[in-house]
Amino acid sequence: MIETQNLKVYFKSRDVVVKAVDGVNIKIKEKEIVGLVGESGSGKTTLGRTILNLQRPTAGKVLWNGKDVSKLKGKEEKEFRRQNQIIFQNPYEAVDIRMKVYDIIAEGIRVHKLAKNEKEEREMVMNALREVGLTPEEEYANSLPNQLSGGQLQRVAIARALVLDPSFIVADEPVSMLDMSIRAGILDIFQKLKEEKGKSVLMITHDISTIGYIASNIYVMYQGKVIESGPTDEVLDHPLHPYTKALISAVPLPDPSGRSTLFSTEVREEVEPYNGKGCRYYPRCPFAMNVCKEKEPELTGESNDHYVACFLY
Amino acid sequence: MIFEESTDVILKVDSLRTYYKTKRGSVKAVDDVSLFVDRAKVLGVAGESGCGKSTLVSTIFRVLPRNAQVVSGEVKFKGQDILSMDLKTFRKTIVWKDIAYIPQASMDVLDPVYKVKDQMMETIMEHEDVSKAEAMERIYKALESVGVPPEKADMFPHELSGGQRQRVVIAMALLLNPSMVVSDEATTALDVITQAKILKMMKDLQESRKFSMMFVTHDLALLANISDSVLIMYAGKVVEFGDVEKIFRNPLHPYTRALIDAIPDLRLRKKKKLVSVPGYPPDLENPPKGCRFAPRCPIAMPICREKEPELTKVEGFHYVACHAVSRK
Amino acid sequence: MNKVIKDLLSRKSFIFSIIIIGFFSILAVAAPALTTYSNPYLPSQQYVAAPYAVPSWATIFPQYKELPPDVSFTFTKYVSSDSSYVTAVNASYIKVVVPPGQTVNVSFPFKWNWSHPYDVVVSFKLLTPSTTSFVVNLYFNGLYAMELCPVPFPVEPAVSISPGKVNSVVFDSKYISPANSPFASELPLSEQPLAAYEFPSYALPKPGTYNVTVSFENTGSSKEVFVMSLPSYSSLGYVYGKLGTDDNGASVFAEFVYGARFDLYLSLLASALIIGIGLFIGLLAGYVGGFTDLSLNALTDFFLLIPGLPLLVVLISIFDVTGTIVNVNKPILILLIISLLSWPGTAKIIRGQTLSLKGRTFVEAAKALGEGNLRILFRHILPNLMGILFAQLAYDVPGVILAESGLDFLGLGITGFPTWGNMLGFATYNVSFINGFAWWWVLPPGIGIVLLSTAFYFFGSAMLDVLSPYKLRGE
Ligand SMILES: Nc1ncnc2c1ncn2[C@@H]1O[C@H](COP(=O)(O)OP(=O)(O)OP(=O)(O)O)[C@@H](O)[C@H]1O
Ligand SMILES: Nc1ncnc2c1ncn2[C@@H]1O[C@H](COP(=O)(O)OP(=O)(O)OP(=O)(O)O)[C@@H](O)[C@H]1O
Ligand code: SF4
Ligand SMILES: [Mg+2]
Ligand SMILES: [Mg+2]
Repeated sequence: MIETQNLKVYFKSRDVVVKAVDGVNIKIKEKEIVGLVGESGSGKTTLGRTILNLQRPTAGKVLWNGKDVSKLKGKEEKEFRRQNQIIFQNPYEAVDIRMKVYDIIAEGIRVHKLAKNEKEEREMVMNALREVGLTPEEEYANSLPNQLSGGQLQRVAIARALVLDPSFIVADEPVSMLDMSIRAGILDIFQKLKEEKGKSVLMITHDISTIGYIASNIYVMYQGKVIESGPTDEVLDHPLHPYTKALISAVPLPDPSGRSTLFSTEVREEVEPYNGKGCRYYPRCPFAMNVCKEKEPELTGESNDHYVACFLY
Repeated sequence: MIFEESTDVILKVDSLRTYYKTKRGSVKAVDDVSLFVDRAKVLGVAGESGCGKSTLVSTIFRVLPRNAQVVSGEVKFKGQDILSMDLKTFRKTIVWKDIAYIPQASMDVLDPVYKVKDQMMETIMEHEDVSKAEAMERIYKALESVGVPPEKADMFPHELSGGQRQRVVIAMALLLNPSMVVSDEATTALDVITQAKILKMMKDLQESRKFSMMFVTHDLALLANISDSVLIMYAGKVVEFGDVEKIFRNPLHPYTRALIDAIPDLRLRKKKKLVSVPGYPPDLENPPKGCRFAPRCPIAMPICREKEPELTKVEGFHYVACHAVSRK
Repeated sequence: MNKVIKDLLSRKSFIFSIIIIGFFSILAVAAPALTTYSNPYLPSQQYVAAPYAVPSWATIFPQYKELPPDVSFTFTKYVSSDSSYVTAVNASYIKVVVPPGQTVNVSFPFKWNWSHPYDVVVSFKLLTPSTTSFVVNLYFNGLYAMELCPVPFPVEPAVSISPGKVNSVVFDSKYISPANSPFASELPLSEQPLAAYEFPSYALPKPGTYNVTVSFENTGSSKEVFVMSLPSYSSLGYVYGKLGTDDNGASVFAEFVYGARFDLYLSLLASALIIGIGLFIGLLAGYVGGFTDLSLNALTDFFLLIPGLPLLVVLISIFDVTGTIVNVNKPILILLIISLLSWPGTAKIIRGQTLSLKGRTFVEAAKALGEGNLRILFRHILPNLMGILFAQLAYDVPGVILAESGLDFLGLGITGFPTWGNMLGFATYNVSFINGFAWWWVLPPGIGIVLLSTAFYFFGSAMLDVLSPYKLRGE
C-alpha cells in the first residue's frame, strides 16, 4: 500500500549537509501496524513526513498504491490527503493555539466535506473526542489548547487524524504523553482500526515495550538508515544488530532494586569520530571489526524476513 | 503537613491548592498537595494524564497561565517562601540559577526565530557576567553532554528533531549549574539509550553537587530506576507518597496498583495483555464526593463515596490516602 | 481576549499611550464642537483677536498680567456744543440737526483702563441727508481720524459715503493709511507707513478718560438732518482663548484641533495603506517563496534603500513646480507618496513572520489535513499575523506623522489648512519678525507631534509584545 524506494532526504543547512534519511526502503501492507524505532535524530519523523508528501525527497520515491505521491495532483492529491493522516510528535506545536478543540477536529471534516450538515459534523467531532477518552466531550470541545494537559492535547491530535477515517496513519509518538492506563486504551483503538477496518499504521515510537504488543513488523533506524527489520517477535526476541540489542537491554524495568543497571548499558560513548565510509555504528559498537571501518554493511536477509545491516552476520 | 522523614529538605510544598477559573466554575487541578524533596534526592511524580502534575510544577516555578490561581498553601525552597516573593526578584535570583525548569512543552519553549546557540547564550548572559567566548564554550559542552551534535547549535529549532530540541532545553536548564531541576516529561521524546545517558549525567551531578530533582513522567518503570521517593497523583490529589522501594514493592492505593500493573513488560508481552483502568478520570470541576477514585475503584466501599480519605502514614516513609488501607 | 487586555493594562507605557491617543482622538472627532473656526487659514476666520494674542490663562504670568482682553462697549453718554441741535430718537439713535453753514460736534466720552496700546475700532450707523453738501469728521481724542464725505476730494484722504442712505461707518486703526486717514497724511513722510502701529499709542496712551468726537459740517444752504447710532467701540484683545492667536489673529486652538484631526486621519489612512501593501507583498514573498520571494525581496530592498524624506521632497516639488498633477488633491498626493515609500519595513516583517509560520508544525498539520493554500493562508497564517499587523499599524503612524509634518514644515506639503507641520513651519518662520517667541503657537503642534508619535510607538510595542503568538501560550 505504501512503499518507499531508496528514499533519501538531505537537509542542507548553511554548510552542513544532514543526511536525515539515507536510502530507506520500507513497505507497509494493508491491515498492518508497522513499528519504527530508533535513536533520537535518526530520521524517523523525516521519513514519516516524506511518506506523506510533506517533505520533498532528495532522491528516491514514495509509492502510494503504486503512484508516486509527489506527482499527485488535484482530486487525487486531495483523496491522498484524506486517506493518509499523520499524528505529529509534539501536540503543542501541531495545533493552532487560536482555535478551539472543536474547530481543530472539525477542520478536516470541513476541508473534505465529510459531513452533510452541521449536526452531522458535530456528531462526528463528539464521537472522535469520546473515542479518545476526552469526556465530558462537550467541555473539551469548547476548550482552547492551552487549557489542556499534555496528554489531553495529544489525544486531540489523535482525534483529529481519526475523524477523517484514513486508511493509513503515520503516528509519530502518539502516546508519549499518556500514562499507561490511557495508553492501553489508545493503542487499542489502533489495534481495532487494523483488525476491524483493515487500516494500516506506521507507528514511530521510543517505547519498545508497547510496540511489541501491537506492531507486526518493526524497522530499526540509526542515523538515517534502516539497520534492522523484521517481524516483531523476531526482532524483539532475537535482535541481531548490536544497536538493537543495546536498545532492548536499555529498556528500564519497573524494579527499584535494579537501579544501578539502567545506567550501565552496553552502549559506549563514541570512541572516535565517524570516518565517513564505514558502518555508522562502529564508533560506538562493542563488536566493531576492521571491516566495519572500511565499508558500510548492506541490509541483508538473515532468516524469514529478518533483515540486518551488520557484518557480524 | 509535616513529614518526619525529611532530613535535609530543599523543596517543601504544603497544602497547595491551584485552581483554574473557567466560564463554568473552577478546575481544581491541584487540591491540597503536600510533598518534600531532600537535597541530593530525586522525587518522581506520576499520575494519570490531566491529573494536575504540570499544574503542580508550574505553580512551583510561577509560570501559571493567567486564569490560574493559587488558592492556598505555600512552597518553600531552601526555607524561602517562593510564592510570596516578588516575581521579578524570583525570576532574577532563583529561576535558572537555583531551580531550573524543563516544561512539558519543552520543545516549544524555543523561539522559532532564533538559533539554538543564541537562545542559550541569552540564558547565560542574562544571569552571569562571563565573556562570549567562555559562554560559547559552555554551550558546546552542555550540548555535547546531552548528545546533540555541535553543528546543531547553529541551526534554528525547527531544523532539529523532536528529541534534539528536548535535549537542547535540558542542556539549557543545566547551563547555570542549578541546585535543583524540575522536569516535566523531559525525556518523552528520547530513545531509551539517549535517555539513559542523560539520566546518568544527571545522576552524577546529583552525587557530585548535591543536586536534587523533581521528575514528572508517565514512565513508571523509569521512575523505579531513578527516584528515591515517589508521589502518585490522581485528580488533583496525592494518593500515595513514599520511598521508591515501598511504593513499588508494596503499592497500597488501588490506583497505584493499577498503574504498576499496567506497565508493559517486553519479556512478558505474550502472556500479559496491556491493561487499562476502566472508566474515565473525573471532571475536575465537579469532583465526585468522597474518594475521587471511588467510581473506578475495584474495592470501593460505601464510605469511599461519602468521605474523602486523608493522606495518612502507613509505616516508615509511606503515606496513602485510601479508606481500605486505613481500615486495616 | 480577556487576558490580553489584562496584560496590556498592566503596562504603564500602554496606559500612557491609550490616554494620549484617546485624548487626541477625542480632539479630532469633536473638533467641530470645540471650535467654530474650521479652517483658520481662511481670511474670513482670521482676526478673531489681535495677532499674537496670548492664551487667556497665560495672564497668570507676570509679564502678561497687563495685557488687555477684548474690549467692546457702546458709548452711551454724549455731549454736544449746542444741545438744542441734538436729540435722542430712542435708546440707541440720536438725531443731529445742523443749520446751514454751521458745524455741530457731538462728543462721546469714555473711561479707558488699560495701559497697553490697542487696535482701535469704532463703528456706527449713519443716515445722511440726500444732498452732497456736507462732511462728517471723526476725531479720536483730538486726533483727526477720518473724514467722510459724499464727494471725495481727489487729494484729501477721505472716505466716501452715500447720501440719503444708512451707511455703516467703521474706523479701524489697523487699516489706516495716508490714503484714508488725515491722521496718517499729517504725519511726517517717513512715519506714514507706521501710522497703523502708532495710532493706538497716540489715541489711548494710558488709563484715563477719553472721547470720540463726530463733527457734522453743513456746507449747503439749508438745514440738514443726520441720524446716527450710538457708536460702539471694540478692540481685539491681546489675550485670546485657550491657545492665543497666530500672526493673523487666527485661533491657534482651532488650528491645533483641526491639525490633530488631519494628522490622525492622514496617518491612520497611510498606515492602513502601508499595511495593505506590506501585507500583500510580505505574504506573497513569504508564503510562495522561490523566485517570487527573490524578486519581491529585491523590490523591497530597492524601496528600502532609496532615501525616503529627500525623495519625498523632490517628488513633491516636481509635482508642484511642473504642475504635472494639478487637479489632484494635495493631501491625497501626499498620502499616496508617503505610503508608497514606507511599506518595505512592514513587508519585511510580514515576510519574516510568514516564513516562520509557514515552517511551523501546525501549518504543516493543516497541509496534511488536505487544506489548500488559500485556506491555510486565511485560516492559519493571517490570524496569527493579526497581532503583528495591528502593532505594525501603530508602529507606522509615527513615521507618517513625522514625514508629513516634515513636508508641511518645509512648506512643500499642505498650506491651505492647518496641520501640525505647517503650524510649526509658519510659527518658526514668523518668530524672527516680532520680538519674542510665540510659544503658545509653537509648542502645541510640537508637543502634539512628539506625544502622538511616542504614544503610537508605545501602543505598537505593547501590542506586539502581548499579541505575538509566543506570549499567548502562557509563561
Ligand atoms: N528542516 C530541517 N532542516 C535541517 N535539518 C533537519 C530538518 N528536519 C530535520 N533535520 C535533521 O534531520 C535529522 C533527523 O531528524 P528527525 O526529526 O527525522 O529525527 P527523529 O528520528 O524524528 O528524532 P526524534 O526521535 O528525536 O524526534 C536530525 O539530525 C535533524 O536535525
Ligand atoms: N489554563 C487552563 N484552564 C483551565 N483548565 C486547565 C488549564 N490548564 C490545565 N487545565 C486542566 O487542569 C487539569 C490538570 O492539567 P495539567 O496540565 O496539570 O495535567 P498533567 O497532570 O500535567 O497532565 P499530562 O500528563 O497530560 O500532561 C487538566 O484537566 C486540564 O484540562
Ligand atoms: S557492522 Fe560492525 S560496527 Fe556495525 S553494528 Fe555490526 S558489528 Fe557493530
Ligand atoms: Mg521525531
Ligand atoms: Mg502535564
